[in-house]
Amino acid sequence: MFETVRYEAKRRLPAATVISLALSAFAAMVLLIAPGIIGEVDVDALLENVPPALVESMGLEHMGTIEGFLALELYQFVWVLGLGAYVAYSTAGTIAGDVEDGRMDTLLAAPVSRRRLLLETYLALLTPAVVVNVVVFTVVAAGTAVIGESVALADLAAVHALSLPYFMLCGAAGMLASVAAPRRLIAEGVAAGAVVGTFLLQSLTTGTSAEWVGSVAPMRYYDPLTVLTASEYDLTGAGLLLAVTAALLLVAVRVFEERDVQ
Amino acid sequence: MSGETDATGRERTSRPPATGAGATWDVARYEGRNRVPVTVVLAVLFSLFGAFYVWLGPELVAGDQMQELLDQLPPAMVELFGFQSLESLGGLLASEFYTLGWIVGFGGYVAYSAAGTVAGDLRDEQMDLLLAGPVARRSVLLGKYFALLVPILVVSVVVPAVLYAASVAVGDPLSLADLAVLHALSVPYLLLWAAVGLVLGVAVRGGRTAGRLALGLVFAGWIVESVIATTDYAWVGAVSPTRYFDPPAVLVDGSYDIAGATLLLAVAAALVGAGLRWFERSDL
Repeated sequence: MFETVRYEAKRRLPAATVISLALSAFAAMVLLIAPGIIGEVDVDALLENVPPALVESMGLEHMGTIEGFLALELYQFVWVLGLGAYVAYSTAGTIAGDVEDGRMDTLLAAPVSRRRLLLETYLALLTPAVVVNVVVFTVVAAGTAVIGESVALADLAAVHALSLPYFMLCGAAGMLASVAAPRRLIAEGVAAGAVVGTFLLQSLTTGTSAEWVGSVAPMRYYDPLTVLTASEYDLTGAGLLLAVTAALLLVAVRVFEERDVQ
Repeated sequence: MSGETDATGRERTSRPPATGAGATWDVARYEGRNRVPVTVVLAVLFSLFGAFYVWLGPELVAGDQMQELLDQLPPAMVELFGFQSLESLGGLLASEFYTLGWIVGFGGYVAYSAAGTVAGDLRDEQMDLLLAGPVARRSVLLGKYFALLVPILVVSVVVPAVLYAASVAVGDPLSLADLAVLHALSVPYLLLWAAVGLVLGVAVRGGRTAGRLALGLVFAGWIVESVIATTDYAWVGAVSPTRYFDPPAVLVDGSYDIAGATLLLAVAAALVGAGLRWFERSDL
């Protein structure tokens, strides 16, 4: 049972460790400089001149807080953009890579169905996402205590928990690219490019008449800023992400089952 | 490897390997041709994205209130996106399109593929074949490096042309001179990341690891520099190449950091030199 998960997960552990360490160091750095920067700005005075509607819609009243700072500096870019692209990229490399290296023949010669192989490989890919989430959550929680700022632990936990459906979607998209693309390099490029592309699309169209275009972006349904500053958890969005994840995986399984593997 | 290749390889190496510009040029031409499809894809994608920005620009730059707000935001947040100005189309482009698209996106691509082109050939044992030919190692590595100029130069010419055309079409023309300077200054920045990728490719043999490391460095170079740029620790950011290539300064203020670009070129040349030495001495 689940030999593939175990094997693939073990292979991902070094990468997961390196990423956890790097992101923990970055989180520590952000926390270190946060108090100085937040102290510089008088948010209330600054928001007096801004229309209340704008303040509300963008959650601006929380901009100068430690929560807002963390959300913008750490989660918005590193989590949503960086880690999301990494998950998509590394999932895309799995099946396409095994096919390219000629390992897939050997794997499929074993008594395991393609569906099972794909789903187990996918599950294993979530290891880095889970490890990194747990480690960085701990570091940020401890770090805020050390610098004497208080962040609601529930919100912090929610930011990390709600990021999992987002990463699962990125992984599922990578998986589809992996089975559909003719070569590994193309699968990886398409998967990572899709995450970066939709990220740009969604940040560009927010607040404009073309806002509907951005609703194809998965980032629309996971917003660390509102979770941390307003304690609003977008559960519908998370549900939607999970549903699309399941749909993408189904399509990936079908494509993989019907594909010629050389 | 077949016996035939082995035989020809031995026969060829018995002659002195070709060095110099000719061989480098041959490798560069071959590798450069391989990069043409990706170059086309990148040029089209960046052009579409850029055109989209220009098209939505008027809606985004109109708000004076937004600008007032930006002026007072914590500098670190402003710095992250290079949000110096949202009052003009140039400011908007510099903020997101060039910061994310060029500094992180294109820089990442160049570093990743530079690392992959060396490490990938080493792993696939294509390097044996290449080096069995009458070509000096130095020429192989240099040729691969120069081949990266294909995507760098093509995309740097196509994208500003499209942006300018689009901005004229929406009736808010950008400064052609600033655009040209911006892209000219981006070439040293990209060449530096290509050099970093090359060295990593030679140093880290494990195929994809080199590329991932290179990509991680580009991302870290951007985000660390922007987070600490406005703090007391700003001096640490001086090691980041991002410090020496500043799109908002060019597009908004019209100031050109020639010294920074020169520094980037010098470091790039030094890195390529180090990579060459290492590659010539190492056991493949």
